[in-house]
Amino acid sequence: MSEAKIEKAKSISLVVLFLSTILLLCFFWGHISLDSFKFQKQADAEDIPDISYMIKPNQIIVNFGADNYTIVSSGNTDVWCTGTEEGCMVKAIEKFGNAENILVEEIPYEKYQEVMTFRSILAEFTYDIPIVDFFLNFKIKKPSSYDVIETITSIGYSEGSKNNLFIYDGKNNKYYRLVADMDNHDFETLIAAIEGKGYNIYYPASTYLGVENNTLIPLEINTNLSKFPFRLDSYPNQSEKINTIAENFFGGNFDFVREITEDSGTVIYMYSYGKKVLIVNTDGSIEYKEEQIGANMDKGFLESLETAVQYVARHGSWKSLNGAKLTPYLKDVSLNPNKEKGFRFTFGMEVNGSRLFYEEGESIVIDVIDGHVTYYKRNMIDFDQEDLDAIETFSDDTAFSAVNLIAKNYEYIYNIIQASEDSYIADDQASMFEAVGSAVDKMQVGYVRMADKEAKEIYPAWIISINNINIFFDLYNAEPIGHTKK
Amino acid sequence: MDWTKAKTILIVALIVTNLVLIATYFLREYQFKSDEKEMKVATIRLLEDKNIFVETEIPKNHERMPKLTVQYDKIDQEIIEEQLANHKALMPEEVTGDNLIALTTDFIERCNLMTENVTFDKIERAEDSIRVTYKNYLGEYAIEESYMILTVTEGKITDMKRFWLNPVEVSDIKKEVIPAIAALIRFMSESTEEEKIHVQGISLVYWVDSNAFDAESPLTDTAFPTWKIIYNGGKIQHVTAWEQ
Repeated sequence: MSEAKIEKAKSISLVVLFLSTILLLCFFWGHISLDSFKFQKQADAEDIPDISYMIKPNQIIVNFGADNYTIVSSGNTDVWCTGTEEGCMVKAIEKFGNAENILVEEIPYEKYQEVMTFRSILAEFTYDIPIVDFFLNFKIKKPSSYDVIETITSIGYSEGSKNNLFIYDGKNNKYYRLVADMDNHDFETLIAAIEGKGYNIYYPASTYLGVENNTLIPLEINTNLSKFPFRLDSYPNQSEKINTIAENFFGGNFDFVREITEDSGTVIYMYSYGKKVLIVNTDGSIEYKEEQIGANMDKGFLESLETAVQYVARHGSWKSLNGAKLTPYLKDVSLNPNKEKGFRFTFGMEVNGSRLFYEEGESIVIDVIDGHVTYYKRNMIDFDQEDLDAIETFSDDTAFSAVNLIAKNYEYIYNIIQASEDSYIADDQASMFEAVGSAVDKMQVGYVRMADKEAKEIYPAWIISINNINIFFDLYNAEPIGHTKK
Repeated sequence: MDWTKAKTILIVALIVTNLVLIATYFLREYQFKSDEKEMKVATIRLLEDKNIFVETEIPKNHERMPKLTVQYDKIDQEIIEEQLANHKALMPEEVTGDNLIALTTDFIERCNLMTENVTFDKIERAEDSIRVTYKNYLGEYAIEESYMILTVTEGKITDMKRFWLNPVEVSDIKKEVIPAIAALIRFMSESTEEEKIHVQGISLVYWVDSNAFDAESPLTDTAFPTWKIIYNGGKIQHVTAWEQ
């Protein structure tokens, strides 16, 4: 046999042997699927929102004196924590804390109320933040004398008592003043800056309506809020997308997951006799429950919040599933849900700086029990960013007058609050009007997603809050459009 | 580089590698088989110590199995009622096993319920009626809790009870199935029976655990390969067969 032929035979043998080695290896290891080499998706750092921006006041009330107020909405983070030129409240709180020998004194509610009637600025939260976590979150030093205060629910400054700060501890229903040898000029500069830039004027409801109610109501609001189309985060017929969502929750155990489809279109994924259950609803929401097992990790407020934020980033992300950007904020915190030791965090979303309300449900709700996520419900919306960018270019229009809205709709409002609470008994229209005027807790503008599954648009709205019920009205014509159920 | 020499070395190396792989495979199989025999004997002894007596043949190891998507099948009651009223009954002298099967098979076909999965199971005679049962099979594997029971009285079908899971999709993923003896060990560890247990049957089936989750009105579900253990004259315990 010639050498050339030998070499050719060797080349062929080499190829054959190589292929047979590959085949034998596949045969041996064929039961190992490539899935076992998949790593669980890690959230990119940029996908995880900064918690210090999520913990922000529900509102900042600025009193210019002589019953002349304004409310800075939560979407404006400059006043709370990001402002640089004229400073911000967090920086002013930090500067105050640098003073020596700060005295902390509990004061009665009446004294607190009295001092806030002066020129002042007050940041109010809808939840109680443990004082240690408050200062840790904003990376400012906490003086040891503050330890007598358990939580911060509101914090503010008043020119009626210039070298003081005032704190309300909502958990214990206590009011405190912090006294230091400090001029607090930064707060005064901030109030002056807000005044100088122009603002929406607010007066107490008592001024307009002749009722006993200090709730602040705007005189006039100019805004460019407009309706825009939206989509659900997922639809029942998007089976591949839904499967991908489910895989994210069960990871390497996905093959062992039982999948149940209901008549209604709801899909249920279940692992290990219900230890982990994921429900994908036809309204685009997903709900995940997991039995809490393992060691008690006993995490505090901030650590639990970090756990929650990272969990959401890894399971669906803080954007819509198609990448539409919303700005999340911490809306509410409740302790020990279902009598388990931990926290239930409710997150809301802002669209172009305005809050998005839901007629039913919330954007994201997550339970962290003993440091472990046991419940997660996600009900996000998807939309085209171009639609929102276009709205930003619209010129301002005047919203329907807040006071006239109450005057136009007091019977409607009364019927809603009366249905939820029998204590409202009004014999005539005047009594109804007074009952409604006295009961209003808050009035604000924002966006609303209606509960109707056929709804395809997000509406700009007035939101009147009474006893934890939000009642929605068209922003420009004050027609009622719906309300939350208690 | 002397490519000719390199080729020779590579050929030799690959031959050696392939021989090692083949030898390892056969060695493992042999080792496994002899280990398996010993394990079987030891397991039976252990079970007997725990008052569990295996009175049936323990199946040999099975190949990997996929999970199954099943659909809860609904019947058109009008068609059933119509067929019940109008089908041709058997004369008394015609009531034999074969004729009963033929009668009921024909009935099922007329009700548009006959599929390749419908498999005759048994005939049971009661005082004044006969029950003909059909089970659901995907190949050699029964789909549990899926049946048709036709009641025949005086040669006529008088009733049909049906709960049926239609297999709609076999998953692409196949997984190892635990051996029957491992299933018996799990059965032993989970058993709460205080009396002696006589295992009379053990087989691989497909099973939907309807107790694990109370779905409102399920349309489709997942059936997993499961060891079905029959003991003490008809009691049943299911043990998940997929190895995790």
